[in-house]
Amino acid sequence: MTRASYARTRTVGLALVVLGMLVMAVGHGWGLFVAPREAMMGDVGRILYVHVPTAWGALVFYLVGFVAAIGTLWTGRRIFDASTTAWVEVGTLMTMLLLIQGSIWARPTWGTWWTWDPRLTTSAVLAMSFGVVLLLRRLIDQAGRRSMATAVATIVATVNVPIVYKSVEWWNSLHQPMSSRESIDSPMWMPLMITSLGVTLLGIGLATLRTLIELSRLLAEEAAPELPELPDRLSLTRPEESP
Amino acid sequence: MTPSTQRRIFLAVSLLVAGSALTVIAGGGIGENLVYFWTPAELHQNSDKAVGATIRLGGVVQANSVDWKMEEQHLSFTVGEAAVDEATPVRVTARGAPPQMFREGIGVVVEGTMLDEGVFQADKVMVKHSNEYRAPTEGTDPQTLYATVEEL
Amino acid sequence: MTLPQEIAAVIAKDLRVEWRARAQVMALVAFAAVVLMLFSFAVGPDSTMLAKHAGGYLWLAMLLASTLSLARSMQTEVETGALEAMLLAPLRAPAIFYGKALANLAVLLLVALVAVPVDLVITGAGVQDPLSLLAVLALGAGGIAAPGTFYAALTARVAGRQLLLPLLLFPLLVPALLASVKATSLAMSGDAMGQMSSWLILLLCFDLIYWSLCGALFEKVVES
Repeated sequence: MTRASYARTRTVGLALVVLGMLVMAVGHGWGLFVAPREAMMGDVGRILYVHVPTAWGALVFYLVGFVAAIGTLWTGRRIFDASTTAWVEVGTLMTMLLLIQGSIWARPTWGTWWTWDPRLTTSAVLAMSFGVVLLLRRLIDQAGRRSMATAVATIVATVNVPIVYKSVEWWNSLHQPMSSRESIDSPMWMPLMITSLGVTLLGIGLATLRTLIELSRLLAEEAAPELPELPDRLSLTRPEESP
Repeated sequence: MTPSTQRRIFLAVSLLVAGSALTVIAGGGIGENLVYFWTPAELHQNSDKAVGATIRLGGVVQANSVDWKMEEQHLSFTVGEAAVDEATPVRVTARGAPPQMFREGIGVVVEGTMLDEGVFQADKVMVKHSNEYRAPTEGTDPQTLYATVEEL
Repeated sequence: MTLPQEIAAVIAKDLRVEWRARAQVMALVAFAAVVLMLFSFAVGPDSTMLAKHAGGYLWLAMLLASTLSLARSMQTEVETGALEAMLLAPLRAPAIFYGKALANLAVLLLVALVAVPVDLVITGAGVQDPLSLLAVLALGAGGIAAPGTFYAALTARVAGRQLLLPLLLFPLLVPALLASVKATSLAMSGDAMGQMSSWLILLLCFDLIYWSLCGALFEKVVES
């Protein structure tokens, strides 16, 4: 990557972050002040405009990470490795926010900070499995092994998500079916769309910047002078030193 | 067969097996059998099995049935099949304050067990709030709903 | 050698290793029993409570024991260079995976063989449906063995693997664990709603996914 293309990509990333925040500000302004109160939950229901876009973002970003992970295994190219990390990281950020918002919403509506609702539980498992992927990545020094481990763990974690969702649904349930166009009144639909767009733009921007950082790290690591590899295992019998 | 063809066939078969198992889980309808909760009528049909076992009961809180004793933190109410249920109401007792959205006429799910005397002892009471997000209709102020709950 | 022959050879080798280090297997079984005891201490002498959660305790003990045995089984391969030797033999990567996973499954079933009676005695739970319980044990242990073997291989060379393996494994095992605990409870305390067959089918599906997906990806893990 040339210096010019690096700078250009970074500008695009920064612009997306700013644009995403602006769009979110518009959407939240609409949601807080223009949209009507929700009939059952009152003003509490307005957290919808924060919560649903976050959930959407988390799922989409993980999915992009999953595709990038497949790219890593398929081609072994650096850019896929860097973007897997970037997307999984942004997705994990979203999932953490999702859990906090969910708890705040659950308190007044369900009367508890936490229930073993399929979506809550799946979000927790989601944060756990992808958080550990990031941890795993940090702990491996050797580049090839690290990119493989990140990719494989990302793929397995992604495939696990629908299974966890289904199994928790059957295990214990007090859940609302997924919100869809039909169940949300039109004055509430618009701000939801705008904030979702904002979160998506923000996420793309953040992931772009993060990919650049990771890519620079990988390049710097490769450019660094090669150190003699440490012995992978200690042999049980040391060769006798000749007197 | 060269090793690489072998490898490809193995990969294809694996993905096929995993994919079909996922399909069975997602759309196989196994979950239909793993019901979320019994309705009051179902509870009455299975009353012999209900005593002592952990079960979930879902229904509508009956009008004028809620009894909340603040000092003793004791809540009791009647759950029915519909808003008005003469045939199969179930008396539920629970400890602790009701959830904020709790009120008469709302759907609830309670988890616990059936006592011998025909009372459902709930470890947990949860309001089953629907996923319909509606703008309020003329003349109802959402905040009054909270007021009703606090009076309970 | 055909693929089944290769798998059988790996199983035989692994079981031989376990047999020669049988003190370790005994320690593992003892560990599971101690964990069960500790659960009852944590809950207190409330017999109805203990009996109600007997299935949960059993599977947690199995899970905790499994992380120890799984890590060890892969450790020996990597530390002594046996994994490279097997690949050069040449054994195919899937054969190594399935052989090791099946051997791990056998060890887990051995643990269960002791853990189940201990669990029943300590919690005072009964068994209403022994046949289903056996099926649950086999399918549930299968659900632990395949992802466990897989992640043990992935983390075998990583620093801090003793911590990393359970961290990676637990979120993945949530579905199998939930289904196993539910089905075990049903087998122990009676199947009031007629759900046993559904849970067993689900467990079978989880197993199929784990065993096929991990088998397919294992080659990537050992290649690097």
